[in-house]
Amino acid sequence: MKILDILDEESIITELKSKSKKEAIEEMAVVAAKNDDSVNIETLVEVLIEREKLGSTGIGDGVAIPHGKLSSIENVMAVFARSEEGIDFDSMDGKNAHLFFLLIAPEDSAGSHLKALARVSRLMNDPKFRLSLMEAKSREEVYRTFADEDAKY
Amino acid sequence: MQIIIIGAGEVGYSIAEILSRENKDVVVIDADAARLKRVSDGLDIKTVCGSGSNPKVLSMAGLNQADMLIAVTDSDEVNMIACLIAGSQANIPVKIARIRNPEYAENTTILDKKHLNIDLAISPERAAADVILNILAVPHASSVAEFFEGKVKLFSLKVNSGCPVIGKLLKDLPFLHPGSNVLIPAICREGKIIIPRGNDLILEGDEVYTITASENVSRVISFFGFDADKGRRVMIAGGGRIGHYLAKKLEKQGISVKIVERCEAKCEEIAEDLKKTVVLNGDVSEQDLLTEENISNMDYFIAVTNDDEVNILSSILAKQMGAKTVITLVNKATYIPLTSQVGIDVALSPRLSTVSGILQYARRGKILSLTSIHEEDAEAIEVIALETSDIVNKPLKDIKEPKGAIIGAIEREGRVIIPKGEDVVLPGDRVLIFTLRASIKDVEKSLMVKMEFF
Repeated sequence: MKILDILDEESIITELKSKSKKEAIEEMAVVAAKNDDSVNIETLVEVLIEREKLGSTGIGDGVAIPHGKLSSIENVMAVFARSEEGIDFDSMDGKNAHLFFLLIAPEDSAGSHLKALARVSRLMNDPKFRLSLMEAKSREEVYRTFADEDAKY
Repeated sequence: MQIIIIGAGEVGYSIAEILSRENKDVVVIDADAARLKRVSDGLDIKTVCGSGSNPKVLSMAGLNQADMLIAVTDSDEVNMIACLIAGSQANIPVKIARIRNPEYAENTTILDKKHLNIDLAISPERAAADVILNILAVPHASSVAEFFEGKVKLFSLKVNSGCPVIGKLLKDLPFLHPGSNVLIPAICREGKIIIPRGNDLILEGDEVYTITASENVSRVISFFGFDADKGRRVMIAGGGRIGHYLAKKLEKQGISVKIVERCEAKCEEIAEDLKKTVVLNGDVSEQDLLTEENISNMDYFIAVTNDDEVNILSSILAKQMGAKTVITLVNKATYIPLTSQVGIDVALSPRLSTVSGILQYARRGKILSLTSIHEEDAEAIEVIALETSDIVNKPLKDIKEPKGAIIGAIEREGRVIIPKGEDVVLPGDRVLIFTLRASIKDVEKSLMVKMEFF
């Protein structure tokens, strides 16, 4: 699975305005809804917050992969966001999260959501890749960083 | 987790105390600077002075970042407005309000998702009354909680001299044999809660906690040497909201109730609503009145006036005059430890039952209910076991369970299992976990789902 199959350039937030976990989730949900009419912001936020309550998706090393299912959408979609300062995401290692990869899957997706999750987790596990995402100067550059990785895949 | 608490009274203070102890970021708002000072001096947490229903004050308290709003001022209306602002201005995920007037909760849709969208409406008085009703359902118990819609009970019995279980090893107790569906998750000894093992002895003075299916309750009580008959005669001191509600519920169960209330107008009001209850106008701390009303024949004397001192004094008097069990409502937390020394069997604080309800929302996991045990020394948590969490799909004895926690009951497809080491929790099961306060963090961790839980 290629990252760019699920991530548009418009779905990249180079610098989050949010300072808290709740706001960050909302800010990303707004972008998701802007790029897809079938996404209802309130429902999405509720789903994501409910998921976080069962266990944080902050996997450590400054990375969080919030995710959830929506019955209204057709395909797996993503929003990527960065925060220079970092946000307390209740991560397992107790450190702030700087890189956020939001994944939304249709309710009936047969395994494609897990493939996407596995692919994103593996990718974000690579320290060099994380560094290049953090250092990318613009939205285009972030997008290209993902494109380069896709080319290798 | 960032939490805003509005109202720094007894309830607000204890919620702030418990949540800050759990390392949550707590901000307390109150219009009364003196009350706030008590909070900032006592608890070292951030405070904002002002009205909780003022949007500007709420913003100053960090409304936009908050994950939870708890409005527990004395005014239902202020609490509701605060929740309304929190929902419309900041979309706060969890909103909890203290709503005392039952009319709001029962007769309107104002609290539901479409309107105020309040997740939990708490009435400390109603909660205390429900705790009293639970206690009356298990004779001789000093605390009782129900789980799985009443299918399972957790209750504690005091081991007095002459009790047949004294000096016995836990594993030798006949009612604990395998298949008996009875489990002892904890013993309170000299004020401290311990989780016992099979080789522990039961001593005089212990308070023994038991988890069992509800139909087994009277059998367990008899094994402890108590008479399992439920009380038939109850006297209630105080005809306020709690007393009135209690009398109404009890007379429906066929229990004979006498209620003593000082205010004549109130007497008339409740007498009109109650069918079989005898309503008496008088002072409950008068010996003559108690003698006349046959206090020595009462199975229970329940003091629920709005005055702590009256409740405590009349309870002492009733106990001395022969009431079998006295239950006393005490608002001031500092009075609670005194009550057992003066012979009061059960002291309840409305604050405690409220705190339980709120903590349920502050914890991680799919939590259905939470009950604080023995002040807040331990907790009984009812949860749904989720796929990928640490507690599912392996025998209980193989779970590296946090020390100080025990799985007390499992419900699967309506059937209750009081588990043994070989039993396995399956995803989707409802599980009752008993945990000491020190182990709560570890229990939360064991209930958390893994990353791949989508």
